[in-house]
Amino acid sequence: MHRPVVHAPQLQRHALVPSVWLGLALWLAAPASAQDASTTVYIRTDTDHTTVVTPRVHVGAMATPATRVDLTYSADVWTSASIDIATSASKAVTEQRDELNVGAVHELEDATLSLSYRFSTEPDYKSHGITLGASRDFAQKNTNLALGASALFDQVGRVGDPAFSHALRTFVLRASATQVLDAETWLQALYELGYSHGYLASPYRFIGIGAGFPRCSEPSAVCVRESLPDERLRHAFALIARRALGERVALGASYRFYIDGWGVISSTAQASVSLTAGDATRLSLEYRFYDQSAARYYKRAVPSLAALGRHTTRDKELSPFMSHALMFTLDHPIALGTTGVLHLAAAVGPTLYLFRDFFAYDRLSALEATGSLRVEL
Amino acid sequence: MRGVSAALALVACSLSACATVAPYERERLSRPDMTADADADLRAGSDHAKAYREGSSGAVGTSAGGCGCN
Repeated sequence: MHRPVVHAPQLQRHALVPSVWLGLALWLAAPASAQDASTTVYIRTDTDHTTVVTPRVHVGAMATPATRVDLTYSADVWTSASIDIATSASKAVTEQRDELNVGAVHELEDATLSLSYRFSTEPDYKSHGITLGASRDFAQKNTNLALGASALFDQVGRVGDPAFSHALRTFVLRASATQVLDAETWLQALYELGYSHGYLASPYRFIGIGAGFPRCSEPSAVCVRESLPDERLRHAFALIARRALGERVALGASYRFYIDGWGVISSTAQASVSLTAGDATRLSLEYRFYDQSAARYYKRAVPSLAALGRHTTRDKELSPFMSHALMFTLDHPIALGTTGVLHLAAAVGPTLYLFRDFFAYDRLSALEATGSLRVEL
Repeated sequence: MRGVSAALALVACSLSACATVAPYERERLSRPDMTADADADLRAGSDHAKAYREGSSGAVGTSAGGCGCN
């Protein structure tokens, strides 16, 4: 959400300190086998004057011989003077979202059960989510079928307006089948059904009426609030395949088709190649293509009140656009004693967005970089 | 419930007709570069950013919640 809150240095201390100590305590308290811990920092910057810094800490350990427990803390700390901020008549915004995720996976002979809970908070948005999953192996572990369900309970607020509080509920069902095709290849098919009910618009986005795209932060004669339906049904289908070529090369490919009740149809295709050097250092290159149609409620401009529909948005994420992304990844393992491994990893890559019907610009470029330290014992 | 079990069994039987690879033949399939969630920690930030900059999500990538409208 967008709001004028600026306390960047305090936010970053608040994000990092508890997570590091909590993670360290849990990791040290776990049995001294099959533990792993990682700390990651993700940075993204784009030509729409937005910078995101996301520190993340993850610890995992076997609580019993068959049960693994994972704890992840992350924070999105972002600063923006983007077109969305500018058109809502705000100055640059800095804010933070904190997220805690706790999960457990229990292994049975041919099956796996999982349960996780996630809490996410920011000054005007709270979210609780619970996910259940089960999977089973068949045919000597050549086939795996998995089912999962999630329920998310969100509360949408608006900074400076204590009376503004709306609920959003999202329920997700997913199913997947994974098949080993031969000694070098596997294929996975996935389907996900999502249903959201509640407040799905942005409480900060306004539609300027007339020419010149007026800026506003409150309703007026030339500005009305964005309005979107309070229901959205989504379907996503995906196919993923991976194949080893010899001892050091692996190829990956995936395709996702998405369609929803707002009229958005999208395709996502990815291809990757991974090369492992003699010292187990792994280099990967991935290309991702994304294309989506507009939601039926999207309007580039609203010349008059008469042109305003019952539901209207000018959100560029609901406009027609495509993107091309490249990602280079490096993972360098270093042996620690006889059983431990330290992974030094990094990923970096650009993304180019091409907008076909957005009033402010027709392209946006972004650069993403991630650094990671991971220890396995 | 019986119908669901029968359907799952049917799908599993159909898929398993593709091949049966013995455990000792799966050395390449178990390599780190062949796992479905390789580099999950490394990809989490980027997956989250994509999910909130695109009008679609699901099936692959992140399902993290909260607004995260960054």
